[in-house]
Amino acid sequence: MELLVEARAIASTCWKDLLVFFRYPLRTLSLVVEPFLFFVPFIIFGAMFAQDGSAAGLAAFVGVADYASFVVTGALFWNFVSAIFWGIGLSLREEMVQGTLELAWTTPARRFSLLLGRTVAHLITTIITTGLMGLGFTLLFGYRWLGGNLPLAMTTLLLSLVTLYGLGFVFAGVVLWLKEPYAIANVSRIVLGLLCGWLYPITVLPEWLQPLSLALPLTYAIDLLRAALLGTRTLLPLSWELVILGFSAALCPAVGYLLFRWLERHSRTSGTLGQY
Amino acid sequence: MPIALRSISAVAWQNFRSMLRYRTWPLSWFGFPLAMVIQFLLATKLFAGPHGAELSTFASQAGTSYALEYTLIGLILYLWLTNSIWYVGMQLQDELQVGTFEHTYLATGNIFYLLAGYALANWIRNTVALGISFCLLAWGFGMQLEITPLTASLIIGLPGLATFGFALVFGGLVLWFKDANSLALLVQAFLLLLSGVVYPVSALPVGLRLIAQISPLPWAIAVARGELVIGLDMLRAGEGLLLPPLTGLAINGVFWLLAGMVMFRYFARRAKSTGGFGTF
Amino acid sequence: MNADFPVIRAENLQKEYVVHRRTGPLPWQRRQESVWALKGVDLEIRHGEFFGLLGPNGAGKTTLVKILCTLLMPTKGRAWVAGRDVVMQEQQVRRMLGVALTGERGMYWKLTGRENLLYYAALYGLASREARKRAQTALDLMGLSDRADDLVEQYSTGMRQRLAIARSFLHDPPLLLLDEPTAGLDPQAARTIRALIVRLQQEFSKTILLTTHNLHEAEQLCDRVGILREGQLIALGTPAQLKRQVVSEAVVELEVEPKPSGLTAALATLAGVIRAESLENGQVRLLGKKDEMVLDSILQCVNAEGGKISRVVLKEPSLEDVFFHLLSE
Repeated sequence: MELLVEARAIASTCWKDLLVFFRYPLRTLSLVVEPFLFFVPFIIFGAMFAQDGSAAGLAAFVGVADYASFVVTGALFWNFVSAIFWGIGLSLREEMVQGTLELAWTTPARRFSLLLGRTVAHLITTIITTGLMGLGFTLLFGYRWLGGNLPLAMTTLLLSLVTLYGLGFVFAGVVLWLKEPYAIANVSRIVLGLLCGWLYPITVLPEWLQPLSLALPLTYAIDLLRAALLGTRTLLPLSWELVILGFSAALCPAVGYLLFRWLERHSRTSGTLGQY
Repeated sequence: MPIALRSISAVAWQNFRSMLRYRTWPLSWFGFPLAMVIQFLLATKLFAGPHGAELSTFASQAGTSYALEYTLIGLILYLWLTNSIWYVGMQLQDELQVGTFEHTYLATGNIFYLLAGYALANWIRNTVALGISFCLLAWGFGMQLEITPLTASLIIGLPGLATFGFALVFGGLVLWFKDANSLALLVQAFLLLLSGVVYPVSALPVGLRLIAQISPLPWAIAVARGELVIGLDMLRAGEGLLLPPLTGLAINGVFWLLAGMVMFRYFARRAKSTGGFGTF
Repeated sequence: MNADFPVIRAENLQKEYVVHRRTGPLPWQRRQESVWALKGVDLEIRHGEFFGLLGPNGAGKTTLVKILCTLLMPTKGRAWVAGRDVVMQEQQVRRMLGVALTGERGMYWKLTGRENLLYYAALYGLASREARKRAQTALDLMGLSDRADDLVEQYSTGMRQRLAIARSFLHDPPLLLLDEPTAGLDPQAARTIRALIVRLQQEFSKTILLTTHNLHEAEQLCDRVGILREGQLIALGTPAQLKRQVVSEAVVELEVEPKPSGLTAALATLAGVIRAESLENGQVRLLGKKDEMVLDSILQCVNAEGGKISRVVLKEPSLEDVFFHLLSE
């Protein structure tokens, strides 16, 4: 009975989020169009160094000369990262400003259900927007992903998403705790954007920065995804990277949720839950 | 000091001080520009290959093998322009919402003093933030650029009028559109795509090239690259090659300045007749 | 539920906020200070009671309400809602109460009124059919049925407030916490809301805790009121008790025709009179001790001065007088 009640809360939160999402059609469209337009210059930039669609410089680094598919794989992955890592937290923040978060918090529904419902809705909308971007890239720039190792790609994507949601929970906790979460969102966006290697293999980074990159699970996620879809060389042996990613997927959500609960409790002590 | 200058500098100074009151100002001044440009510069190193073997391929399309310098100049000017075009409108919207606009407007009496003041504050910020970022990046990536104060001021100064005009038009748009942020992101994405920021405009299909030329950005980038990367000396030998972008910039400047002034006069008249000055 | 059973009980409830005060322009130039928003509140509200919580801004009203609805944790002391501890049994506490917090916040503007209610009904664990029935009843009761399927962004402020109240009793909780439900409404809309709240309490026998700035509203609606000042409950009782308990003064206003020039000064010398003043409309206003000021001696004094009383008004202090009296102490 209790389970049924929680399932209802999860489904209802998810449905509510989807309804709100689709009631802002322009926002939805811009979620697809803006990133798409931002990523296209990177592809044209790659073309500047390529002859007949083949970039020898890139091939020397990663073993694959298809610059367009290399950039697009990274771009789509980065879209997932930015939607999930910061998306949940920033949508919580929106609800804090709206005042709806406090009210949902006064209901007997468990925090876990409220967060999970939101996460599922978020996953659906992110898959829709990223899928549409991928379709655009496939049609306009001949993005080749079908020839790759799709089971490995799906496994990598699944493990990456689980890891990302774990990290997203931590950020959501930080949003509840701090009144001004944007500075932290921006700093982490800059740091991750530079270090996780969505646009380039981390071997082009200065050597002193590479250990920091290697400490991020997302570095392995994008590396594995490219290897699976495009056949690029991996930084570490493929099986090692898979183990590292699997380990972080097992750890991140649990740690992330515990940290979220801890920060949520902290915000109820300090009284920041309703402030914004 | 003439009244116009006094008003403009007072608005600029007030605005500049407010900018520094936000605790996160170093992040928006330096964090974003550095992060974005570094990503492109690292991509340049990637595509050029381990020993820069593919720079010759780049040269065959861009006219220079100095890919890092080429990219850096394009991106810094891109950031400069995109920073500028929304700033004026956003500030205006901010003052309208806070309720300080009506008082400032009554005190200065001319809306253009106010707008010029905002633009001046932002121009100083851009000069400092992007100037320092530019030097840091050029040094960090070991670039070869010889810039004299004269060339630097010409590169910053020449697109000034066109940028201000462009800013007036987009500033006006901010006041019309409720969701100004989405609009800003969309226009920024289009400018990056169309203005030849990291590749020559000639890499685009013909139709898109024509659209690109209506903004001052591709012209400003062409002037700066001509002077700094491709190795022309604008003041002596390069008139032949630099004349087209300079003319483009001049026409662009006149057009956007006029368009911007017409737009704001219309906005001010409409607001006065509908009583909408304080209602945003 | 037994009428004597306390629906809300608080014992020595305290809340400390830690604030950082800037001492200079640099980020590390700041000092940590503690601010006590509640300094030991003891309170019992019984089943079916309509209780009003009054106090100036910053007195601790919202802090108290938020602790009771589990949004905030107390620093010291304990509180129970329907016998459940608000810290240890927060899940059960949330089932027992319906909350309407201040202002237009708290609704999804891009959802319709009905969709908002159905969403919250699901969070309260109501099955879909039951949720629809309850939502319809709540919408009917709040007079929102004809606009139920419009987006909330198209609602007026008063309608949003009614929707917020509809949401608070959707799951039929014994206790409603209403935080300034009429704040910012025009007199007509405020009156409608007040009538709806009274109906809720009487027809559905809810216990209601209402916080308000509007003293007239509190006097009109509440069985008992508590006044908070700087985190302490400085008065507690029925409006009538509070008036008796606190104010031992009375006000007498006299209309005298013709009015002799030395009358006001003469009246000021009478026993029990604290202050006598001439009002702009020609009347004389006397403030005096209720037990000592004698009407007879006032009449004699007026006659002796050669005046004639045409009208006497005796005034009872209102809850507003009590409020200001207590706050000024």
